[in-house]
Formats: sequence, structure tokens, C-alpha cells
Amino acid sequence: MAAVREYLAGPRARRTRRNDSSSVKAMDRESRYPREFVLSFERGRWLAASGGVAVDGADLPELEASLARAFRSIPALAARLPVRVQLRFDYDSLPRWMRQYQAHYFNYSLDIDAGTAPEDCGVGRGGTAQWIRGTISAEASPEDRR
Amino acid sequence: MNTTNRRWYSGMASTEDWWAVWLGLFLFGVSLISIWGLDLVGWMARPRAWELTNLASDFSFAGILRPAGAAYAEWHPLALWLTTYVVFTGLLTIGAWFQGLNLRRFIAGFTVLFLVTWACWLVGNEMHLATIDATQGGRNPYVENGLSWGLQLGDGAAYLLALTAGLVIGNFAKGLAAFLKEAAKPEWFIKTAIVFLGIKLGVMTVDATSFALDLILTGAAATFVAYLFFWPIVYAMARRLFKLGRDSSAVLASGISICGVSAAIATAGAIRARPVIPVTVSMLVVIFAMFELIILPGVYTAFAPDEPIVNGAAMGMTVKTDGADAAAGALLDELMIGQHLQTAGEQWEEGWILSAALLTKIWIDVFIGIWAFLLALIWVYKVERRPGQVSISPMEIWFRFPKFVIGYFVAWLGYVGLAAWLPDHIGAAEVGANTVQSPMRHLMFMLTFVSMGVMTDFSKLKGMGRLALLYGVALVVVIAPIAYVVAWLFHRGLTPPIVTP
Repeated sequence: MAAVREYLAGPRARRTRRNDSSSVKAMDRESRYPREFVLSFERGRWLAASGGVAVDGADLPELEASLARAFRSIPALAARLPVRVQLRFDYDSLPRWMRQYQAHYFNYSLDIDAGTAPEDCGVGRGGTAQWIRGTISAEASPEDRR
Repeated sequence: MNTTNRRWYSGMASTEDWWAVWLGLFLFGVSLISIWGLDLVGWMARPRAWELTNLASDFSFAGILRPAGAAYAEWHPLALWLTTYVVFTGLLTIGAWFQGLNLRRFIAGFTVLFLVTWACWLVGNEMHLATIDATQGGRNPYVENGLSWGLQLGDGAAYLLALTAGLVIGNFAKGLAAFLKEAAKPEWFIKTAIVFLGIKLGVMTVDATSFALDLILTGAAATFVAYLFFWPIVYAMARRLFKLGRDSSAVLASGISICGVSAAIATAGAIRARPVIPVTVSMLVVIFAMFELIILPGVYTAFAPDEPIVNGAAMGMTVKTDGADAAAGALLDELMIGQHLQTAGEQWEEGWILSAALLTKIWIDVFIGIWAFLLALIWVYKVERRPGQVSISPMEIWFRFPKFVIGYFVAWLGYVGLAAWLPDHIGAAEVGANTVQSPMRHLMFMLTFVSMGVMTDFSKLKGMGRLALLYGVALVVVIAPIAYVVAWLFHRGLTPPIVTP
């Protein structure tokens, strides 16, 4: 059914739907426990964002280090380590004319463990991490409570 | 707003690839209503061969346009043409809406493309350009119309005009090219045409089953050549001779040796390269594909006029991007049929040379997802040496799978199944199916030729010296010769069936 809904909705409808209540709830859940990051490449830097968290890096190892640092430094997230994070490339950050040839760049999973220290990632430390909306909270989700 | 692939059905409503499937199968489905005696696609306008002085002395639209279906013979030619415009604009606009394109710009741009396309199509059917001096079935239209000279290009004349018009716009009217950019989607158009071609392959399979199967099976062999010969050689050339980085070499090797832009993007994604690399390589591929499209059909026709299927298959392995390959295959089809008719007085059936080019390419396309997945694993485990931290899902194979191939095979097997299970109805089905697989497919090919020209800006080659040199050397020294030898080994001596007058 989800496929049919997406098919019928189309991109414009999806844009409109961003404001409805179910979408807001989904965003809230994502903000509290980001597991899936949208990856993009802008002005020579890799960016990953999800809900309230945004990290960047000059290359992917640096971005992954920033992400690991973000997870390890926030108690609400650190409590859930180790975690597998999905990184999905946002195809909109490639030129539009290329989509007709191949409409997928890459997705991958990154395993983040507790580490020995918040910045122990074994790779460069040039990236940054920031809270965009400050919505990360320590409250457990219903799924986690189960 | 972002576009990511999350589920198996991601992109079904929003990518050109899937919309080629929907449009192709929709029109195929509508055409099959002719089984019940109702031709719902016969309104399609198609050009009629015309001679300049005759038309000038007695002009009528009926002299240049005719309906695809006999049921529409009473319609005014302009009504046919307008219906064609409205239906195609409407269907493509629905697709454009789902893809999130700017509809106003798409409709305006498509209208201009449609007008340019039809102008080229009509002019390309002028007898001095198209008609071949040969007697067939006791008739010779060249002589009957009193032609004193002629280029004798067949339908290739219209294709060449469309390509020229597109290239002029893309390189000398860049403002107009930018305006058309929203609607100039050569890959969408050609993938839709390829789904239509699936019906043609179905018709051909019914007529010549063993030949069609032979083409399909030997086309598969080309896959091994592209992946196991071309790629390692070009990669080694890039690394050793041109001293390119590992990422750039891998992306360029895929772009040059596998299937062009889609392979470059898939490979870059697999090795998680910075997007600037596939963008640069893609621009290079698009420009070189244009050179291949312009040069190779004429060269193959001139140097190997008796090896049509070898030429088609070699084209499929040499010309990159589906659009350029299909366009080159169509041009080769027309040029070789025309030349053979002129020299031997017999006409090869249309579509076989094109199918040889396309089947080879489709096999190569199908495996790009698996290839990219293997490369991704090699990069994680051997190159970056990060097992345990980073993992790649097999879903990546599906995300990179060319979806239009599904439409192609559904149309092909659907038609063959219809012929097998309902043999009494296949004659009626052919009434509608022939409109989709012939004039509608030709229209999509013509739109592809114009759009490819519009998108090709040769000035973008500036600053790509080393990459362009590698592309040129690899193409001339590695890809083209090996492709031709392999095609010759598998297809030598094969010729399309002869059309009986």
C-alpha cells in the first residue's frame, strides 16, 4: 500500500504532505533518535543531516568521525550505542539532467560503537557537528520501551 | 525536500526511468484494444514521402501527413497532427508533474522540441533526401517521381536533420538550449522508445524466432567483454599512462567501457566518490557519445556493408549511453538498409540492426547494478579497508537496475505470449501494436535526436584535456577494435530477413 500511496501522491503532494500531522510526528521521532541521515555534497564538503542533527566533513571518513562524535557526546544518543546509522545520498544535490541516466548514487550503513572516548573514531577530526533545532531529548520512544 | 532511495518502490513515480515503463506499457495496452476492433492509437500522424516541386505546385497537408491507422483515413491531416501533439504533450506532462519538473517550462520547452522535431521529420521525408533508387516489387519511386538527384538516405535523412538541428541549438543558440533544458530529456524519450521497441521485437520474434533468440543470447556475451576486458584495460591505462587517481580512473573506466553516464554514476556511487567526478565524466561521455553517433554509422556502413548484424552489435558495445546507442543503431539501420537496397536490390527488414545494437547494450545495462555492488564491496574491504564499520546493502543492486528494461521485456514477452495463446487475434492486435512500434517509436527517436543535440555543448570539452585524451585513445585503440572483433566472432554472416514485396 505504501508503494501505491507514494505512486499516487507524486512529489508535489509529498511536499504538501510535509505539513500534515503524521509527517510532523515522523519528524519528531526522527529528531529524537536520528538513525537515518540524508547525505549531500555542497561546496566541496559532505553533509549529513537528520532531524536536529547536522554534521559535515571534507571527506566521508571525516564526516563519519563527526557523526560518531555527535552520537558519543549526547547522552540520549550515547545511551543507545552501538548503533547502525543509514546514510542515504540526496540525489537532488546532483545536477538535475543526470537523473535521467541513473537515479541512484549510494546508500550505506555506518556502525558506530561506544568507543573509548567521544572523539575516538580513528580518522581525521576536521568535521563539525551541530544541533539545528536542539530537539534531541533523552525520552525513550515507545519502540525502545517495548 | 530531498530525493533518496529508501524502499524497493522508491522512484516509481518520480524518475524518468520508471516513467518510460509506464508510458510505454500504457500505450502498448491501449493499442491492444484493437483486438476488439477498436483502434485507439491510429490517430498518430506520420509523414508521407513528398517531392518539392510537386508539393509546391499542388500543396495539401494530405501530401505530407497521413494517419497511422486506416480507421482514421477520413480525418484532416492537421487534426491528426494536433491530436498527436495533444496526446504526447499530455502524457509526458503527467510524467513531468510526477517527476517534480516545472510544468510551465516543460510544456513550453516540449512544444518547441515537438515543432523542431516535426519540421525535421517532414523535411527529412522529401524525396531528394530520403528516396532510394531501387526497384522493389516492380516499382521504383525514385524513377517514378522523376528525380534527377538524391542523397538516398532513407529515414536516416530525418534523423540526421534532427541531430543537426539539436546541435545547432545546443552550440549556437545557448539561450534557447537553456530554455529547452527542462523538456530535453533524451534518456526518457529513448527509454520510452525502447519499451515500444520491445513490441517490435515481439513482432520480429513471432516472424523469426530463432534469429531473435540468437541475437539475445549472443548479446549476453558482450556483457563479459565490456566488464571483463574493457574495464580493466581502461582502468590500467588511466592509472599507469595517464596517472589519474584511483577514484577518477574507476569512474572514467566505467563511463568509457560499460554504459556511459549511468555506469559512471553507478561506479562513482559504489566507490563513494565526490560527486564532481561523475559530473565531469558524464559531461565527457555525453560529448564523446555524440562524436560516436555522428561518425560510426557512416564508417560501419562504408567499410562493412555486408555485415549488418556485426555492425549493430559492435555499435552496441562501442557507443555509450542508451540514447546515443539507440540513435546510432537507428541511423545505422536506415543507412545499411538503404545501401543494401541500392546495391543488391533487396530490402532487409527494418529493426534488426537496431535491435542488435540495443540488445547488446541492454545486457550491459542490466548488470551495472551487480558490477557496482561488487566494486562497492571491493572498495570497502580492499581499498579503504574498513570492514565492520561500513556495510552495503544488496538493495543497491535494485536501486541501480535500469527499470526501462522491465518495460522492454514485458512488452516483448507480452506480445509473444499473445501470439502464442491467442493466435487468432494476433492479426487484430498488430493493427494497434504496429502504430506504437513504428510511428510512435520513430517520434520518440526523433525527439531523442533533437534533445541529445540540444544537451551537447562541445565547448564543455575545454579544460578536460587529459580526460578527453584518455577517452579518445581508449575508444580508438581499445573499445572500438575489440568490440568489432567480438561482434564479428558471434554474428559474422548474419543478415536480417528480406522484405518480400
